[in-house]
Amino acid sequence: MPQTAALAPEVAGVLDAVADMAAAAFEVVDQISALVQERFTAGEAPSRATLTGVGELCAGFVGTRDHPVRGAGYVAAVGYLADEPWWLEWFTQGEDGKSHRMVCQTDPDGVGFFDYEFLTWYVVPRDTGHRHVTGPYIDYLCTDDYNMTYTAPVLIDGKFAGVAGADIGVQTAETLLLPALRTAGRPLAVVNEQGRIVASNSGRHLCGDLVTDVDVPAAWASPARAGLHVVADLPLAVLELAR
Amino acid sequence: MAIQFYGRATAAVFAPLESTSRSARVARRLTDAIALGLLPDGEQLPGEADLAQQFGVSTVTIRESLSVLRQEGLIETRRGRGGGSFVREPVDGPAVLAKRRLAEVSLLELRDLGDLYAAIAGSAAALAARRNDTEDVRQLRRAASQLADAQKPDARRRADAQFHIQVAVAAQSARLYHEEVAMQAEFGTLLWLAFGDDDSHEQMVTSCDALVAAIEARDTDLARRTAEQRVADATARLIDYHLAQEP
Repeated sequence: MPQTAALAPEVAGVLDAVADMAAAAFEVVDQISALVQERFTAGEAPSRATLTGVGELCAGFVGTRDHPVRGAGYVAAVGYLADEPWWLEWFTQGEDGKSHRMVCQTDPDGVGFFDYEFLTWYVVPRDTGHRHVTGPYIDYLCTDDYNMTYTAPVLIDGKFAGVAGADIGVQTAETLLLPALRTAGRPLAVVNEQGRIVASNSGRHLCGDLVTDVDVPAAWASPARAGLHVVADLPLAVLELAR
Repeated sequence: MAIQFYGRATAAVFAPLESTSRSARVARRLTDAIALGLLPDGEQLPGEADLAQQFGVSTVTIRESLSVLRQEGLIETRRGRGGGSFVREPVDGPAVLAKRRLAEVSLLELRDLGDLYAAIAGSAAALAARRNDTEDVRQLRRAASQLADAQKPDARRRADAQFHIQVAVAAQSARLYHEEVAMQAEFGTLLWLAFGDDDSHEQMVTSCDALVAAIEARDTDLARRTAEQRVADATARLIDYHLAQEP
């Protein structure tokens, strides 16, 4: 990766680990997005029935323990499908290690209605047109666990048709990032653009906490001065902590 | 058999895992869900094998739990094609389930539940004050205004529960979040008996706003105190309600 060439190798190693993790998630997201676009441009009016194949595609990642993605799918733009105003074609790994469709309440008058129209992983791709990483966050609507969600907008004829997404749990993120953090030999933290810590190699910088050493949101525009190394086009960065 | 004493600190290791049977706990969970309205009248329960997998117990245990619910008239089982177990809400509404349970609970148990809930809610609020970002505050404000706007007791209860969940979410702690959910099922069903009227609603709206302000100001001590007070107020209302019932 050319942008990391001039960096100290210990920082570059962690940046690569973050980029690899994001690439694993977006590999799934991009395939889902491509499949949904293909289905929706085939001529029929978009409906639940046109979403065939998403489950099989997701099962290839979600239903195997070799891949870090534990949940994936397509979430329709509100009002986009003809037959279901709200719809999640979403698959998660069950206790048996296999991929299962997540059944959730999509009737706005029902108890426990899954109201995703206000959630970050949906709102940011819709409003910015760019892919996004949400979390670490407590995913009380879906996985019921500590999660990170990678999403990208699905565009049909330039119009927002929903998001394609993939989940990598914070626990898995730690497993993926810790080897590089351990060998870094200096205090580093992987943070999101809010300054929330995903993983670090310091007991004083815990996952889920906001870093107080640096005002990360303010430093995001000119990160180098703050010792912040942003992963290209993603809301994730490696922060050099005070030794 | 001689019981070996491993010292105070290790004694907990060898304490019984759970005092109540697994089938009783599954029955309690399902009863709570019916009482909370999460499993509405007529809803079909998953099959025995699926329930066993979801609860992580054997199908024998599930059969025992379902037979308890059947005896209490809370489910009806139909055989054959299109058969299965269906929820039957009590004729005088789901609140009667909570009332039945409250009648069996002592004031001391209520106080104890209130103490534990205050510890969980207080810690979640303190961590939320430390860890919140702007999105968390937005979601908390949204939950608080939904509570303020709710008119019917049921809607008010659901909005209050949702607000508590949002605080646990802002705390970024999966364990505290799960404890909050477990307390809502175990204790929330009882607290709701004494919550939903205009008086208690106004009190809860005021304390919600105070809690959001403390969290946004990153005042961990004030957030903890405010959340503990909310639970203490709700517990006190429930105990007064309990005392007002015929023995």
